Amino acid sequence: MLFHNIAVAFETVFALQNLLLMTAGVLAGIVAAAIPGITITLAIILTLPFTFGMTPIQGISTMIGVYVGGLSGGLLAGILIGIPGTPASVATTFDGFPMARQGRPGLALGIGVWASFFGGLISAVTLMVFAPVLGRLGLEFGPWDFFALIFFALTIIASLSGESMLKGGIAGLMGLLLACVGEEPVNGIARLNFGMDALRQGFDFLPVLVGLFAFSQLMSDIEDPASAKEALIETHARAVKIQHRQAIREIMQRPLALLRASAIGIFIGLLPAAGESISNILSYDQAKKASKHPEKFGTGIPEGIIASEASNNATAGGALTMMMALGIPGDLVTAIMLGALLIHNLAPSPTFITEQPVLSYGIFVSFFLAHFIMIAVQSLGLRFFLRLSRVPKYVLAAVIFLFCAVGVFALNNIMFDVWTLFFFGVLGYQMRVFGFPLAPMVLGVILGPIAEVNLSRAMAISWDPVLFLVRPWSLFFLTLAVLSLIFPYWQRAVRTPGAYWLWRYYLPVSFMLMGIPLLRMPGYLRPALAVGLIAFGLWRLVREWRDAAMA
Amino acid sequence: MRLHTDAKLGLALLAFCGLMLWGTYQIEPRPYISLSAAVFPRVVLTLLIPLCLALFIKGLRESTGLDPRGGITLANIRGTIFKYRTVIGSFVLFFLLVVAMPVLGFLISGALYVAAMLWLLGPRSPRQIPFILMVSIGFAGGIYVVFRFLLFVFVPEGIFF
Repeated sequence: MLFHNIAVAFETVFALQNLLLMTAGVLAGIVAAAIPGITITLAIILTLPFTFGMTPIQGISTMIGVYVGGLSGGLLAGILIGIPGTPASVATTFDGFPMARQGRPGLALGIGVWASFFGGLISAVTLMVFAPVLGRLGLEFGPWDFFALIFFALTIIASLSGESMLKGGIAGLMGLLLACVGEEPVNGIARLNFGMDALRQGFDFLPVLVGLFAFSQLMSDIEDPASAKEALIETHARAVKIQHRQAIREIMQRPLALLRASAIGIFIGLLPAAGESISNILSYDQAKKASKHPEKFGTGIPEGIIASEASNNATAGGALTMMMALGIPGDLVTAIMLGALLIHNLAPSPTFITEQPVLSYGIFVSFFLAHFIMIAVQSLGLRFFLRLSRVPKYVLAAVIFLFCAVGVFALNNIMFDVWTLFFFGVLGYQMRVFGFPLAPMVLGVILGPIAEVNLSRAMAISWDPVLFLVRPWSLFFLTLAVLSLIFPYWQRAVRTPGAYWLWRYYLPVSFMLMGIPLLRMPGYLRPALAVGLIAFGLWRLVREWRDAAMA
Repeated sequence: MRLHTDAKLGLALLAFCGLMLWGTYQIEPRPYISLSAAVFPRVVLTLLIPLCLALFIKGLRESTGLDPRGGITLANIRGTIFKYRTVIGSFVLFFLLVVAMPVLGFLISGALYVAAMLWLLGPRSPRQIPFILMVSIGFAGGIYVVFRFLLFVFVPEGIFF
């Protein structure tokens, strides 16, 4: 029955009209995401009115095309200009831009495009088979668990700071504080606006992101009057094309990195209201921590690009599953898609897949197909975008600043957002000059309201703080948070000759601690995994103790 | 004694934290809510203030032995302004754009902004004027047409259009 439904879905999706609509969607998504100031969300919102006259599968297929194209389009600007086109490609710039600056833009683009492709395919195939099971997993989360997850995400802020953990911590906490300006998210109480009505609405995330990243990067490029008159990329654009074969080879040599990033992306996508803006940074951080050479991250290595791009495309698959399986949007984009389905009198719910099998699998097939279309469009459209990179920096800076202003204005149609863009542009540049990392502040602004809402919900149910330790998922994430805070010190200690002997037990104890909350989870798989983790940790502990005794 | 940049930043951040902390005490208390609106920012400030203090202390340590001639003097200020003249000029122009947009509208203010930026940052010669006009009018006009008539997205309107 499963294969019959997939076959019918293929036939529907591969109709000529549907293919053309998807191609147009992918192209629009790539172009929109490639330009900082226009986001995937805006592109999806603008696509929605066009879908009213289409069939449900056509409408959703077109929006999926925009979604997939947008997730991949952000890497173009991120790699070639150093400005992430979308929040989903923030981490791509960390290694993609340095690789391009080293004279390997074609390879960087190829790795990004193909990592997106493979990440998306992995999530599409996995979720087609495991969608019902994965949907049930996300349902187990309560507000304590969400708060603990966000606390864990915030603890990795410091590890993204590289050499300056102090300044990274300050930037992250400043982001949390700035997110508090405006109306409190649960009860709407005005705070930290100092009596100014304009500040009552707070700072929208998009102008903050564009201001911090786009302005600071462009200002750094034009800081020197002489270099401002040069092109963005030294390499001749005509000689640059996506190095498909080499990119695929680089990715295939790192299967673990690809699988880990895809797994993280799928998991984050399953979490309601989370999204690819979190997964790409989380995946990058995990790849850095798992690497034998974490100091190379940020210098232009393939692992950094794979981690970011595979995870952001995989997140889309997870978000779509949540939307279809439970009727809960996995992120803002899927919330808009949910609206599109409601317009066609279709209400996603736990029985959606069984009641609408052709449409459900049509959505999965569209998601699968969109990645192939994305590869083709990226390859053909690259020359156009490379022509943009041959333009002198000062010309691009002038037009991009203006585009950012109007793009930010288009979000809410208020000038306050443009003023926010200006303020955070100044702040972002100052942060670059004084050595403060930008990503932690962005994370703080994104995650702060989510953390506060969930904390408030948890407190509304019960003031008992022990619940944060009693609930298995909450305990799991808090354990990870503590371990994550200690991990950089452990990394430093193991490289220091004569380091304190207790550090050698950090890893085994970590495995055992992670297993304890899993042991308390329902079902058989997770307790079995917990037993495995604890047993492995014990074995390593005994081995380390024996090695220490013999030394 | 001349202060290291980190010490000055630490002081400025501590002052900002003080202002925000004062702001949390201006929040209107409401009964019957699970979590007061002041709690979360105060928790954040509790973590942030020690870090800012640590930055200040780190800066103080690095201040010993600094050349006093590198401090705040008129000559140094002029030097800094000259060094960052393109950045300062760009921010000033963007500020003027944001002020002018609601008055002149996106099309006129945008074209003027791009033209001014190209003149500020690019080669300043009469031969560049046609290029500047082409890019500024073409780009601002193109965005206006696409947003307004193709995508039906509002752009800032002024007294003219």
